[in-house]
Amino acid sequence: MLFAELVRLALRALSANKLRAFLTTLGITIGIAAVIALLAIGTGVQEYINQQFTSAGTNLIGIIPGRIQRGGPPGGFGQNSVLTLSDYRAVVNGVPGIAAHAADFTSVGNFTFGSKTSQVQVSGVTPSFAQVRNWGAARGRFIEEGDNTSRARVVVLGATVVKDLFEPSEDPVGQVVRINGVPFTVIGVMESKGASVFGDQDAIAFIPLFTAQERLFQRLAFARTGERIISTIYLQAASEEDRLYIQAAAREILREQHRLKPDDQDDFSIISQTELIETFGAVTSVLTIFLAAIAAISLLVGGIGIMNIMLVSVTERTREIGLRKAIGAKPAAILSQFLIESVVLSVIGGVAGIAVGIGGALSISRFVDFSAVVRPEAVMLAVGFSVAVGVFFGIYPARRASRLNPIQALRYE
Amino acid sequence: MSTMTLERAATSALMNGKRHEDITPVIDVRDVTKVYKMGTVEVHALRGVSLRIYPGELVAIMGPSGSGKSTLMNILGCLDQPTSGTYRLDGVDVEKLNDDQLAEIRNKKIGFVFQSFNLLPRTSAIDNVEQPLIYAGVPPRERRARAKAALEAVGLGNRLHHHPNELSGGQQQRVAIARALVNSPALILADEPTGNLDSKSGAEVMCIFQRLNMEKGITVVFVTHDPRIAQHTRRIIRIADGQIVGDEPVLEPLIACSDQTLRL
Ligand SMILES: Nc1ncnc2c1ncn2[C@@H]1O[C@H](COP(=O)(O)OP(=O)(O)O)[C@@H](O)[C@H]1O
Ligand SMILES: [Mg+2]
Repeated sequence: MLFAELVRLALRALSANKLRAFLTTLGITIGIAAVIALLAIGTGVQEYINQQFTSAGTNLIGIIPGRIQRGGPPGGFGQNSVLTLSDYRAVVNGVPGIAAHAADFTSVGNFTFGSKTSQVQVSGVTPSFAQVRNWGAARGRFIEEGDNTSRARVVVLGATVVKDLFEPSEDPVGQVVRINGVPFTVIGVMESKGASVFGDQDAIAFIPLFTAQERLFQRLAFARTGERIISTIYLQAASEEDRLYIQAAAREILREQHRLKPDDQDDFSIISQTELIETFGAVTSVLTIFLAAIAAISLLVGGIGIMNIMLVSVTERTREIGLRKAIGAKPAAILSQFLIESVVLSVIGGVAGIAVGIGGALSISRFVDFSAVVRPEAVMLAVGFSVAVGVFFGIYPARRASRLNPIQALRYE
Repeated sequence: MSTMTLERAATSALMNGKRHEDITPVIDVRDVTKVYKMGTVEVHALRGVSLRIYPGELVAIMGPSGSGKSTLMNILGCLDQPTSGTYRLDGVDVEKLNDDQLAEIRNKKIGFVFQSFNLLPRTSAIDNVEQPLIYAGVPPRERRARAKAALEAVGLGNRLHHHPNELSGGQQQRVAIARALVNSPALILADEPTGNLDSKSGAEVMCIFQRLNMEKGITVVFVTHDPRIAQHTRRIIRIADGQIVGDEPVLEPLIACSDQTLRL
């Protein structure tokens, strides 16, 4: 009951000096708003990235030549290790439980149509690519098995290539474009994926795998042994458990194919979508925490503001404190009164900061691709933080008040 | 106050006369000194004061300015501690009490009235009077009722919601007295309660003290410079230079209350 009374006293003292209270809470408001907004944006980015990975198909495994540092950026490709068509066949024949699989050979091509040109990635793919990557033609059709066996000169263009080569009014399907001078008939246009963390996903074109290897990139597509080179092997698992098993089994087979000794390191990398999500997630959450921590520094400044005002308040109200002690207030009651006052200040600032932070994060989301996500944990963290700031910076002025000698306090001018 | 008669005053004086050893004094001060240290200078505000005041007494303390009256009152009110000597309040040695126990005594046993009123600004009369009850842990409803009763007892039943700056000096001092008596203390201490008041307001304060003393048996000790005010008590203690130099009874106390001074 005394507590309720002390809260009332605190509110009353604060409302006697509204402008001052408002300016004091502003520091906390800004700090909490910054923390909330940055956490919301960080969380939004993270969910956006997850969604990007998942949209590439679920339970997807990619195998590429060379070794990449785990947890580090792709790069540092191994000496001259390659994946070959026979590696691909060995894996898909040797590993049971693969739901779907595909392979590509990828290089860069110069596209021309009339006077217009475009330079984009060209992937020779097996027809199942569309299923495995969960990505197909929006108009026309995707590569089919017959295109591959007949080494047909057909191409499915990504949206960016279409934009580069054709007028908006033109229908690309049926037109003949040249890739590195070789004529190809456009049979389809891919669904647009837009820009993403991976860059412009639409700056790509697909042709049949064998066409790519035999008619466009002959000089790049064969190893010295005469075997066909594969850039990426895609395996799709039916479930998460299958994925783990398939990854392990594929690794064994590839080590065997490449005649690696037991203590040799892999000369290929098996990357799963789940692991990529985790890796990116770790990076973005570190970034989010780092930004939030910087924002929290402004809370410190806000806290110092509260301490300053509470010290002023204690000095101004020295006579009141003396009187309260004279009529029977225990030191703890005086301490609580001033502590509650500073906590009320910081919590009001915190609540306002949460509102401003959420508002800020939502309005930022309007201008970017991802939407900010305010987690309840972030709100609770902010409330907890503002209470902590109030207690931490209020305790010293409050102690000072509670220890005043009543007579000296009453005499204070 | 019309019921108060000289007869009754005389009876009380008689009772005060027979001070038996078995009656515990409310105030029992022995050889109390108080030294203020200001840098290298020592001020001896009290130089060995011994004093007993029994339940039901109405006492005035007089003395020149700087003689140590306030210092003594602060010690009596448990607001300050003596440098040496003992102070027993109702038989309890105050020196042995901790801060919380002292706060409790100031809250429940003693009502202190200051020369400068010391009301909370921007706070209504009734809220001011409620303050000690808050620290006593009295529930809000009862608090309200008791504060109202206390204000009515000092003739301010029609000023409950006035703020201090809307009240005259005499009315402010009566709010302060209501605050002092709201927790039913055994002892009211007042340091120059009429010092800032005109003679009419001073008489009203005296009337309230006499009534509290007569009707409720509250022990009242106050400081005054005004010999006429002092004549409203039954005992005058004189202090000079930190020592008690006189302690005499008032044989025919003046009665402050009349229908003119305070209409209740
Ligand atoms: N807090 C203090 N510090 C130093 N000296 C003080 C203090 N309070 C009172 N004194 C001195 O003690 C003496 C007695 O003061 P006080 O009790 O206030 O006298 P009175 O109330 O009789 O006028 C005075 O000389 C005064 O200056
Ligand atoms: Mg004085």
